[in-house]
Amino acid sequence: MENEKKMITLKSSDDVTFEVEEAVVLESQFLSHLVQDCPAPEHKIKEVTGKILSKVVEYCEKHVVVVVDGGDSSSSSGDDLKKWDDKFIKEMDLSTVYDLIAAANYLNIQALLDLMCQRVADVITACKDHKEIRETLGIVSDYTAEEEAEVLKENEWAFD
Amino acid sequence: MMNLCNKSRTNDVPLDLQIEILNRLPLKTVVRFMVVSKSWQQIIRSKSFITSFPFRPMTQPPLRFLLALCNTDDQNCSFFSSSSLSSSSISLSTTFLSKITLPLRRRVPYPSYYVNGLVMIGDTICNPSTGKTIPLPSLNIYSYATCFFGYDPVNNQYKVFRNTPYLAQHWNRFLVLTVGDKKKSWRSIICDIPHRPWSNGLCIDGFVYYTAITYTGMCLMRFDLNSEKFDIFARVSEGTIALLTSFENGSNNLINYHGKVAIAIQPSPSVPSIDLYVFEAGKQDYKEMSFDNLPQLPLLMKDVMNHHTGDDIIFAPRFSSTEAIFFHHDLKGGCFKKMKFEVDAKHNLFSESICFMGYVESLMLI
Repeated sequence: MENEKKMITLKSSDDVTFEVEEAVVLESQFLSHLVQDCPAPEHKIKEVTGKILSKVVEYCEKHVVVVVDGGDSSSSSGDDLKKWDDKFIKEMDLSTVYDLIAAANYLNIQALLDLMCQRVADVITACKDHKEIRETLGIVSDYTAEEEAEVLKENEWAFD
Repeated sequence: MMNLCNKSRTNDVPLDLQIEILNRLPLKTVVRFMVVSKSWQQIIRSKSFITSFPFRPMTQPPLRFLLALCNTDDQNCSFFSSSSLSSSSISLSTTFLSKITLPLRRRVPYPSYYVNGLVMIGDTICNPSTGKTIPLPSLNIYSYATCFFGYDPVNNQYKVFRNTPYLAQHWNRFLVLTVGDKKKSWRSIICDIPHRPWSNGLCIDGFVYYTAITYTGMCLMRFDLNSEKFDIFARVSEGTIALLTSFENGSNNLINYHGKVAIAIQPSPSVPSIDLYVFEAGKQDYKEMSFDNLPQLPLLMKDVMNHHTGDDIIFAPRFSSTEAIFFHHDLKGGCFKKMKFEVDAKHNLFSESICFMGYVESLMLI
C-alpha cells in the first residue's frame, strides 16, 4: 500500500539537487509548509549550500526511517538512533556544525538544532580553561589584562 | 567579537542561538566562559540569561535533592546534589557542590529555606551551586524573629522578610530585604493585619504562606512578594489550632500539596503519626490524610511528589546529626523506605543535615 511514495526535489543554493520522499521533507516545519502551500515538483532553498543540505537530508532520512519502523520496539531503535547521531556529529568539524545550526534553524528542524547546539556545548565543556575556549572558537578577548585578572580571581572556584 | 565562531564564515549563527548553546553548558563552564570576553560576560550576567539558565528540555527533569551538612563547631556548611530517586535502590549518590563559612548558633534551630536555586540558612543567603554567599545585614537587637524567604517570578527577585517581636505591640511592623539590592539594609513595612507568625513559610508562585496569630484568631497569612502586601488566605480550624498550640512539643511543616498549601502536623514527638491538613482560599482547612506507624521519631513531612502512579511522600528527621537520611513513603505500597545519602567520608562530620527537594543549578549571585 506504500508503493506510491511521493517524491520531492530540493535544490540547494549552489544548484545541487536531492530527490527525497515527502516524509523526509516533513521533518522540517519550514519545508512541510512550503510543500503544502506550493505543490511544485522542485523547491529551491537559497539559504543552504549543497554540502550542508546533503547532511540535512542524510539526518532527516535516517530519522524518518527509524520513527516509522520503531513503532513497537522503540527503545532499541532509539538507542540505535542515538548511536547514529553520535557518529554523525563526531565526523563533523565545528564550521560544518555552525552551518548546520543555521540551516536547522532556517528549515525549522528542532531535533537537528538541539543535536548541533549540544555538540558545540560539549566541545566548549571539554576545554580546560578560558584560553582553550578562545582558541577553539576563535574568540578575541576584549578584556584589558587588569579586567581579566579581576574576573578570573572572582571566579577562581570554577577553575580547579 | 560576539561570535562563538570565526568571523570569516558566511553563515552566521544568530545571537539567540549562540546564547542557547551557552544555556546548555554546565554551570562551571558558563562561569569560565565569562572570562573569555567582556561581551560574553555582559550577556551571561544579564538578568535574562540568569533567569533562563539552565536549559530545560521539554521533558520533566528527574527530581534531585539538595543536601546541606552543617557543622556548628567549624561554622561551615557543605552542599551536595543527589542522584534522582529510584525505587530499586536504598541510597542516593551525591556530588559535592560547595562549602561555605557562615555564622551558626549552637543548639538553636535556625530557619532554612531553599527557593528557586538559592538557600537561606540562618542569616546567610547562598547559592549552593557556586558557593557565593550574601550575609543578611545584622539587626542590632538579637531576636527570635521569624524569617521568611521567597522568590518573585514577576520581577525575578528574592526577598527575605521578618517580624519584629522585640518591639512590644508591634505586630504590624515587618522588615523586608531584596536580595542583591544595592542598598543593603532592611526596609520597614506596615501590615494592615497585625499578626505574629506561628510556623515556617512556604513560597509558591510569588507568595509566601505561613500560619499566624491575629487579634481575632489563627489564620493562614499570605504575603505577596511583588506588592509586599499581606492578606488572610484561609482560616485555621479549631481542631488544627488545638494541635498547633498544644504544649506537647509536636512539630509542623508547611508543604506544597499539588499546588495547594498544606500543613503536616505531628502532635507530639512520641506519637508515631502525622496528619496532613489542606488549605483553600477563604475556607477552613480540612484533613486530607493521615500517616500512622512512622518508622522513626520525630519526623517532618518534607514534600509530596506527584507521580502518574500516585503520590510519593518524603519524610525527614527533625534533627539529624549522625546520618543523612530520609524516608520515602510510597502511598500505593504503603511502606516507609529508609534512604541514605552517600557522602564522601571526608565530609562525614556534621552536626545537622538538612535536605531540600527539587535541586536545580542556578547562576544567581555570580
